[in-house]
Formats: sequence, C-alpha cells, structure tokens
Amino acid sequence: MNNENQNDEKLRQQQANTRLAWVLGVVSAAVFVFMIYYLRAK
Amino acid sequence: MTTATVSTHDDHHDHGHPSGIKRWLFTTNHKDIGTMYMIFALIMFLVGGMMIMGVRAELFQPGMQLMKPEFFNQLIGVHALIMIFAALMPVATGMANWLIPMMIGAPDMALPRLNNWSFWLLPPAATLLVMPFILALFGVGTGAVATGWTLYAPLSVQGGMGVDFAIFSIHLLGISSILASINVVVTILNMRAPGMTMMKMPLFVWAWLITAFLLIATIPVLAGAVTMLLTDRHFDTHFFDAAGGGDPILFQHLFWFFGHPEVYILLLPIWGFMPHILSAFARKPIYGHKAQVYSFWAIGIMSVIVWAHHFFTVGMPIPALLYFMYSTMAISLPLAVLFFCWIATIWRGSMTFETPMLFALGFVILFGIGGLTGLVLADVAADAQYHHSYFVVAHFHYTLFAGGIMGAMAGVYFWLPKFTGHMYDEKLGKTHFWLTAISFNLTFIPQFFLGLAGMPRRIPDYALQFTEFNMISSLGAFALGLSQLLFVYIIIKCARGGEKASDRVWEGAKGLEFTLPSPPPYHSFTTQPVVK
Ligand code: HEM
Ligand SMILES: [Cu+2]
Repeated sequence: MNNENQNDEKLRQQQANTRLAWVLGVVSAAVFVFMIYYLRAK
Repeated sequence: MTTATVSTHDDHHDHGHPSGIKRWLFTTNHKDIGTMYMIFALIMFLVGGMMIMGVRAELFQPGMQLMKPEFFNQLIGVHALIMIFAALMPVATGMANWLIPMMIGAPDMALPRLNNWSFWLLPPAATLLVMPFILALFGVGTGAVATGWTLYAPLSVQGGMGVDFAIFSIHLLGISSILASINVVVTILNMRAPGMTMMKMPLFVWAWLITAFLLIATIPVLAGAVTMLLTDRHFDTHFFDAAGGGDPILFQHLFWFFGHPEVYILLLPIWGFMPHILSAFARKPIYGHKAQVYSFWAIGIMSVIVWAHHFFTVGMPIPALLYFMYSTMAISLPLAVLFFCWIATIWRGSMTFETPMLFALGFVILFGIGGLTGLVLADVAADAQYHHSYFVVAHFHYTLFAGGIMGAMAGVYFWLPKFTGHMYDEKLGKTHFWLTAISFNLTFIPQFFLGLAGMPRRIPDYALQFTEFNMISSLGAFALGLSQLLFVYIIIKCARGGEKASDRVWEGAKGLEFTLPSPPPYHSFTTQPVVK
C-alpha cells in the first residue's frame, strides 16, 4: 500500500469524524433551543 | 492486514512535542489531556472535601458555632457542584481519554483539538464557581450560590450574584461535557481497530458510549433550565414565577430530567471499570459481557423516564406518583443483572486482594447498600417520611462516594502502573483502602439513622437528641478527609518512581492496553492492531 492511498484514507477518516461531530453537536443545540422555545409560552 | 487500515500518525510519530507549560496548554494528545483531567479532578476533590469539613465541623455539636447559616448553605451547594462536575465527571473523562484509544486500538481520540478545549474549559468554570467566596472577602456580593446544587426556583431566582456565577459556570461545564462526549462517540464509532466489532468492545468503552449519549441528550436540558433561570433573574421573563404565569415546579422537572440521568452518567464509567478489575484479580473471564452491555442500554434508556421520584412530595396526581414509583423500581432490574454479573465473575475464582480489587469489592458491597436504600426512597409512601432527611444524604453518598469515588479509585489503582510505568506502593494502597472504607461507613451509617429519626438535611443546627450520631459522623468525616491525603501521596510517589511495571502489569489483566509497554508510547497504536 503506497503513501498516497494512506493519506487519502486518512483524509476520508477525518472528514467522517468531523461530519459525525457536527451531527451530534447540532442535536445537542437543537434540544436546547427547542426546549426554551417550546416552554416560552407556558 | 494492518497496512490496509488507517493510522493517523504513522508518518510523524517521533516529532518533538513542546515542553513546559506550552506542552500542557496546547496539547492535543489523549494521554496528556487525560492526565490533566485527572490532576484537575484530584485537586477539586480536595477543595470540595475541605468545604464539607467546614460543614461537618459546624454539625459536630448542636447550636451555631462557626459560621453564619448563609455561608453554611453556600459550602453545601458548592461542595456538591464541585464533587459532581469538577471531581467525579473529570476523573471519568480523564480515564476515558487515556483508555478508550488504547482499548479500541486507535492512535488517539478522533478530534484532538476539540479534546484540548474540553479540558481547558474546566479550570475557568471551577474558578467561576468559587470566585464569589473570594469576592465576598473583599465586600463584593454575599458569597457563592446558596441554593444547594439543585438550584430550585424561586430561591435561585431571588438569590445573590453567586447564582449568576453558578449559572455561567454550569454553562461552561456543560459545553465541556458535550464536547468531550462528542469526541468519545466519534472515537468509538469511527476509530476502532479492524476486527473490533461493537460487541467485542471492552465494557468500559461500552459504558462510556452510553454515558456520552446521555450527556449529549440531557446537558442541553440543564443548560436550558439555567438559561431560563438567568432570564428570569435579569430579563423579566417569568418561566418559574407563579405571579407572572410561570411555574416554579417546572424548574424541578427540568432539573431532574437532567439530574437523574446525571447519576447514571456519573456511575456508568465506574460500572465499566468493574468487570475489567474483578476478572483480572479473580483470574476468570468476565461473566455476561453481553448481558452487561444490554443492562447498560436498559439503564441508560430508563434513566430519562423516572425523574420525578426526586420530588414526590411536591404534589402530583396519584397516577403520576405510581408511574414514577414503578418505573424507578424497575431500573433496579438491569442494575441487579450487573450485580449478578460482577459476583458471577469472581465466583470461585482464584482471587488475590491487591488494592484495586479491594476497592472493587468495597464498591460492590457499599454501592449495593446505596442501591437498596434507593429502592426504599422510591416507595412513595415511605418517601413522604424520608424526603429531605439525612437518609437521602446517606443514600446518595453510598452511591456517589462509595459507588463513584471509591469505584474510580479502583480504576485508578488498576491502570496507574500502566500510565506511569511504575507500581504504586501496595502497602500504602491497602492502608488507604481500609482507612477510606472504615471512615466512610463511620461517616454515613449514622446519617441513615439520623434521617430515619427525622433530622432534615441542609440545616446548620439540629435538635439535641441528634447530637451523638452527628459527632460520630463528623469524626468519621475528618478521618475520611485526612485519609485522602495518603492517596495523593501514593499517586505522587508512583509518578516519581518505584518498581518497574511490566506490560501486562497484573497477572490476570487482559485487553489491548496491556499489550502496550508501560508507560505506553506517546501515540498509542501507530499501526492498528487486528482483533481476532
Ligand atoms: C436502584 C437504584 C436507585 C434508586 C431506586 C434511587 C432512588 C432515589 C430516590 C427516590 C431519591 C429521592 C429521595 C428524596 O429526595 O426523597 C434519590 C435521591 C438521590 N439519589 Fe438515588 N436511587 C438509586 C440509585 C442512585 C444512584 C446510582 C445514584 C448516583 C450515582 C443516586 C444518586 C442520588 C442523589 C444524588 C440523590 C439526591 C439528590 C438531591 O436531592 O440532592 N441514586 N434516589
Ligand atoms: Cu433519581
């Protein structure tokens, strides 16, 4: 296996990691925003 | 073969990393960050402990001796917040940083820079929490948050600026936890070595995966609740103000919707330690790996549907009382499965009793008492009597000190030789265990009886008939506090030197982390191992 392929693989992995991190972060932020928004009129 | 897999650092693993303060400030290395988490946790453990020594000194006798009631309340609340958010959670996160990459065969955590941030948010957060104490010395404000860690409205709406400091501190702590959890989830889902299927993952890793999911789902609820508190305090909203059409009970619901899962957030990582330690010192394979994974899941899911058992007495419709009672009691079923697996793991094993094993066995017994007394409290009819009494205080210290802190100590002693490359002093370790176990019980057994006899919690003075048991409890507490200095000494001594630890450290130890040298190289696995 040559170096170039390994670097591709590494980049792909890092992108996958960042993507998943954003999904989880957005879920968290959404819970926060939804809750306050939903409760504001109660 | 291994060459076909990703290893993020194979091309530059011996790069010179900065030394001195810069190494720690800018580090993205999971071991450095893990070490910082654990040192931070240890320091805050001592700070929080010192505060409660003040409380136990005041409670040594009836009457008011040493401090004003406001200050007493502040000590209690800040003690709890520190122990939960700045001691127990950070030690678990520190262990996660060290162990997860090694256990799943990864070079590091998935998001190393984020990791640096997760840690460095903690010291400012802790500073914010204790700052009002210092400001008060200079005549600014009335001291720290005095509401207890639960921050119930309307007290917290009316409280002094200590509440604002606590709110901001909780925001920072929450962000730190969420970032750390994101990192844990991504690392576990994306960075496992080839062949490391989900079901083959070590139980500590599994426990942390579920912990991280719980944090991501429930910390925002706490953050939302304290944000609403902040706007009620300063921006004329009325979320928790009955006069303005709001509802103070809403705060209790929001707080405990986070708060109950939080108790499992604190304990899941510890339950993750146990099978590793028990099986190593019983020299037997872990009993019920799958059963434990399923129990973790069951407890994680059920933990978000039982929250109102913390305020049965506030007034609820009967069906709600029944629902929260039975759902709470149902959680003890998966918990019992875990207990069964722990006991079955050591059953008829050829056991030896090194310090980690002592702490692990102490954990199983004492945490058992914590769980059983929880069942008592979950009974609506009984809770009417015990709620807000010292019985509750004793219950949650059996879960959080014996279950949480002593369980964490079992893990620290077990993996410390791996981290430092040296064995700790076994004789001192055992002494530390016995001092801790005995003085812990001396402190908290009397509190069960005080609670049963009707002594309320969170008060600086009490009726005369409670005197003797309070004296015993205070003496136990001072001994417990002093014993922990020995722990600090043992750790420093072990970091400095001592008998060289082998790769495997313990005869019965299993797991990928024990295939690495002690201490392991800067980047754990530069070439990922293949798991059969
Ligand atoms: C079978 C297991 C358990 C049951 C049935 C249970 C039940 C309860 C109940 C009903 C209360 C409320 C008592 C009251 O305020 O009147 C309570 C309080 C508490 N429990 Fe547990 N519990 C269990 C395990 C745990 C665990 C594992 C932890 C922590 C790791 C924990 C930590 C706490 C804390 C911190 C409080 C007091 C909160 C406060 O008011 O400040 N419990 N428990
Ligand atoms: Cu609870």
